[in-house]
Amino acid sequence: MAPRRVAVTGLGVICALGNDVSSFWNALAAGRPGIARIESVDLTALRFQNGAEVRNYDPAQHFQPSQADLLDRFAQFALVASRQAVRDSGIEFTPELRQHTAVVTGSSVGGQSTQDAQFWEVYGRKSPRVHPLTIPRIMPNAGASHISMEFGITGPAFTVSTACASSNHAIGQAFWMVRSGAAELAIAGGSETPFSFGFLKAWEAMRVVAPDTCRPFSRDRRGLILGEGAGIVVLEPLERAQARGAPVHAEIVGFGMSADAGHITSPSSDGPARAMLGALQDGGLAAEAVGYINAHGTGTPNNDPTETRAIRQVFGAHSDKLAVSSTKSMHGHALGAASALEAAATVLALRNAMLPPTANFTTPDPECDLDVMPNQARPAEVEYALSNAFAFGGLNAVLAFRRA
Amino acid sequence: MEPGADTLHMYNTHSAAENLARSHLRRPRSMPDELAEKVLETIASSKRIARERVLLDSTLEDLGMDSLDQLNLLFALESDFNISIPDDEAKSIRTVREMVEGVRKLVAGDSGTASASVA
Repeated sequence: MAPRRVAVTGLGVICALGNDVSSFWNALAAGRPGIARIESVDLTALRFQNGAEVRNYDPAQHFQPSQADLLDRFAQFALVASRQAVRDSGIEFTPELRQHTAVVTGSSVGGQSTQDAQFWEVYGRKSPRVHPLTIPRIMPNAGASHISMEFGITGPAFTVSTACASSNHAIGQAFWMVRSGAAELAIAGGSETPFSFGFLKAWEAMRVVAPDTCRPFSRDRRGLILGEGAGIVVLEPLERAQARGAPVHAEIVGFGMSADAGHITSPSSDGPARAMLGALQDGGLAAEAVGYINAHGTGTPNNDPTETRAIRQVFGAHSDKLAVSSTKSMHGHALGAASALEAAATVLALRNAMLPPTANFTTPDPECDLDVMPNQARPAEVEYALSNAFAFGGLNAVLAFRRA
Repeated sequence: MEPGADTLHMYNTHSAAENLARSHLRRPRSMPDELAEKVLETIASSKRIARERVLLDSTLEDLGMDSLDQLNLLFALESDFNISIPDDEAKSIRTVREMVEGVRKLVAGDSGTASASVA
């Protein structure tokens, strides 16, 4: 039996660019970054001041107080985005379908704000106790668990944690499960909320956060900008989607993974190249078929030239015909949710025949000599696109998409 | 050991080193060699190499320091000398001598762009 084709029939997004898919897309297409001075944390003792925070978000608009008590901000975002995605897909769950639906989420650090606040209680305030719901709020699988409860999904559900590649690993697993028939439907993506003081101090100590903004591939880039949010996709067999007349936003056609087995924080080009090749091979694609890459593109001095070399290694002469952009320049680096936001951006780019730009770009860098689409979105009908994610720890995951 | 595998350990702050840094702060720049010696010691202990290997003219590369080793060193120096080393100044440093002079400037609090911070 030929493997099933896998359709993306639902999308949900909440991030600095907007709290729904249409505002997310409008900002991407306009090249309008959501990066601003961080509001949720006291910045007095921090070297960097800017981030990509979710704005105009009121938990009370989404959750009853009794439910909100159970949910760290990152799990709230997972639920908000999955409600959007399920609604968008128009899926109607039956008891049978619930048993054969998978939930796979990515998160790098889980309930950071809960952990920070509750550990402060015992370390800082010398309180003898922490809140009894601290553990269920912190656990990185809280997103997957609450999604399964929300929709009564009783099939396979789990969380993948591979730092900045978490969501691509999660969506890739879900894609393979639907393609193989291990699941009939999947809700997949990731969520992250890194804006807590202790965690920001840890990023400050890594000295990779830009003091100004995120300028991927630009010669004057000074580092990444942290972001928060969630992205969720609904995946199902293309035949099923067509049979029920569901909107097919795009297809996922391939998934590749690799490990650098090198350095814990410095990226290699070989590992990312093998993950891109893996995605092409998994989808049976020729490199020349790809028209757009949503790059990992963190905007750090090291990542961007390394990724450029990896792309050239895989695509050879075709590299100069590729359109490449880093949407992290707009939604920031949402760590475990980053590649879910980028998967959504890639799907929308294919569907809307419009490629989002690399924002905040000022000066070409000879070491990043790809067509990175500075500051202006580009109308283009692209058949196939890749979305790259390369994590600290050298764990790489790449998804291949096809226009519907 | 794999490269980088041990480099995220928490650096043990030496109280003697702290005392030295404080005593230096009290004295009006009378013992520059002592400060340089302390920086060299911090480099050696942070990188876990023999003190004799660290020379003023060594580059950080000569000492085999990768990006994480350099982060660990900056953390150790900030802790030992009660200073805050700005990212941009840290990035421009290539040699031990530059590191010593950078620390001296911050300890004296006369840097144009950075101020020594007392924890």
